[in-house]
Formats: sequence, structure tokens, C-alpha cells
Amino acid sequence: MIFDWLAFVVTISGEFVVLLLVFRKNWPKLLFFSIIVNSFTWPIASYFYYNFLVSFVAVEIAVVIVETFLWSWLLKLNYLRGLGLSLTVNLITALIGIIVF
Amino acid sequence: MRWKNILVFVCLFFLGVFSFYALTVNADTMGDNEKSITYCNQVDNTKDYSDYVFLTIDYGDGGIASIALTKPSDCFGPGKHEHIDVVAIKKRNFNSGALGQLQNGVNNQSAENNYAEQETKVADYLKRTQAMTTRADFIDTYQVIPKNNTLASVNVIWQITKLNETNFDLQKSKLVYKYTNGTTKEEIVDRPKPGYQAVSSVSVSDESGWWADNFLYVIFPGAALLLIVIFLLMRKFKKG
Repeated sequence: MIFDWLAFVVTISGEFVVLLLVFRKNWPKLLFFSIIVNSFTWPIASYFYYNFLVSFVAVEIAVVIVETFLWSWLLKLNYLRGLGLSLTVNLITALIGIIVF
Repeated sequence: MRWKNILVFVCLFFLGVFSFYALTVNADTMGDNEKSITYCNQVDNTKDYSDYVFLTIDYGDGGIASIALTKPSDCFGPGKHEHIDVVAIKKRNFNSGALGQLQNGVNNQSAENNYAEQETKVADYLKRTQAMTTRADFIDTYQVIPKNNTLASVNVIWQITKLNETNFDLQKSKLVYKYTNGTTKEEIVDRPKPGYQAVSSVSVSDESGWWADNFLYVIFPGAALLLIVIFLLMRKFKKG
């Protein structure tokens, strides 16, 4: 469980840092978005990954698609930019996850 | 500024709730005033089925944690794992060499894909040997208790109630509490009520399990989604 908690915090922190580097303003809002978006996607992704033995790449693709919409709506981006942002943050956090865990 | 404070509060609240959950549910850590006790599960009537060998397959978080030949005196399942399958194989179908290979595979597995591969191999082995499998889920209630509690260990005695070529049923028959002063207390576990169909599996209900299981995977993302929707609606109405 502590391991899960660490992975969750690393995911939130990673995405928050990327958002901060991209937008460079209003950090409390970015932190808030990072927490609620990951609180929605991370547990569901973990559930599918561990319980249905779905591959890591398939889970990441699903997360990128869902987060594309969430980031687009929350940050008022068009869907193409939302997809770009979602791809970037998830690629970076996935790499961190692979390296750290 | 007020909005920033609210957002920071919500962030801290979410992190706080998750931290609390992470530290309390399935906590492996022990406080100064707590102690851990052993939790031993035994099947006591395997000798009545001398034409069978019995295995236990221990499923951990990611896959099979261990697979072992079980004798009546062996303890299995300390209670930390997700569940344990007890397997009965006719002696004429049992091959210790093949089991050894499986055990090596399980002991050397590392990556997630490898877990799935091992599970497939074990499933194939069980199919080949016409094994009968029954599942036992465990409660780890007694793992960590207050230090001043005189309870030293708990033996959970299981009995095979049915074993033939089509059915295998295990039932918890007795709990034996051993105390530090040398005394023991036995508690007979009630039989299922007439009409209850065990269907070759054993499960122990754990009322606290619903909250623990559903908090992370249902309530937590549900609350997050609700917050996202509320935020988007508030912004829409503010604009309007």
C-alpha cells in the first residue's frame, strides 16, 4: 500500500512539474488540477492493470485519451493541445515510473 | 487569493485523505504498543485422502507468490496475501519434477509479463494433472494487536468436507487461540446453514473489506470526478 501511495504521489508530482514548466503560472490551480485528474485516472488505471493483467502500454494509452479530455476542459485548451499535453505528462510520468519502480 | 486558499485546501485534503488511507488500511507498520502474532492455517484431515497430494498456491499482489507441497502439519497463508488456492492432485497424476520446474519459474519471476506467464504455466499444470482447486480467502485481523494482549498465536483449522473427481470443498472448522501464559481456547466455526452451496470454494467474509476495496477504486476516483464536474459547472455558471 505504501508502494501504491508513493507511485501515486510520484505521478501527481511529475505531472504537476510538467504543467508548471509548460504554463509557468497559477501553481495552486495547476496542483489542484493535477491532484483531481490523477485521483480520477490513477486508481482506475491501477485497478485494470493489476486485476485484468492489461499491458502497461494499453493502460497508458487509455489514460492519455481520458486525460486529453480532462486537460482540455480544465485548462481550456483545444483537443489537439490537450492531447499534446496529455501525451507529454504521461510519457514523462511513465518514464519516471519505469525508472523509479 | 481566496480561490487560491480554497484550491490549496482541497489539494491538502485530498492528499491527507489518501495518506490516512495508505497508512491505516493494510498497514504493515507496527506501533510501539503493538505486537504481531503468527496466524497459521492447517488442513487437518489430509490423511483421510491418502491417494491425493495437496499444494497451496499463494497469490500475491502481482501474481503467484509461491507454490508449495503441503503436509498436514504445515502452516500456510500468513494472511497478508490476496488469497490462497488449495489444490488436490491424484497421486497417480502428480509429477514432482514438473512441480519443481514451476517452483523455479515462480521464484525467478520478476516482471509483470513474467507473472502472467507463470500463471499460465501453473494453470496448464493444474489442467494436465486434473487437479481440483478450492480457494481460501483469509482475514488478517489478528496480525497486529495491542502489546498487552496475551494472545500469542491463532491456528485456523480447515477440513476437507468433500473431495472427489468433480468436487473439492474446504471448510474452516476450528480456531485455536494460544495465549502467552500457555493456555489455549478453541472456537468451533459454525457450519454453513442448510441450503448453502459452497460450490467448491471457501470464502471468509470481511465486512471492513468493502470499504478498503472500494475506497481506492470507486470512492476516491468518484470524488475526484465529482470535483472536476463541480469545477467545470462553477466556471460555466460564473461565465454565464
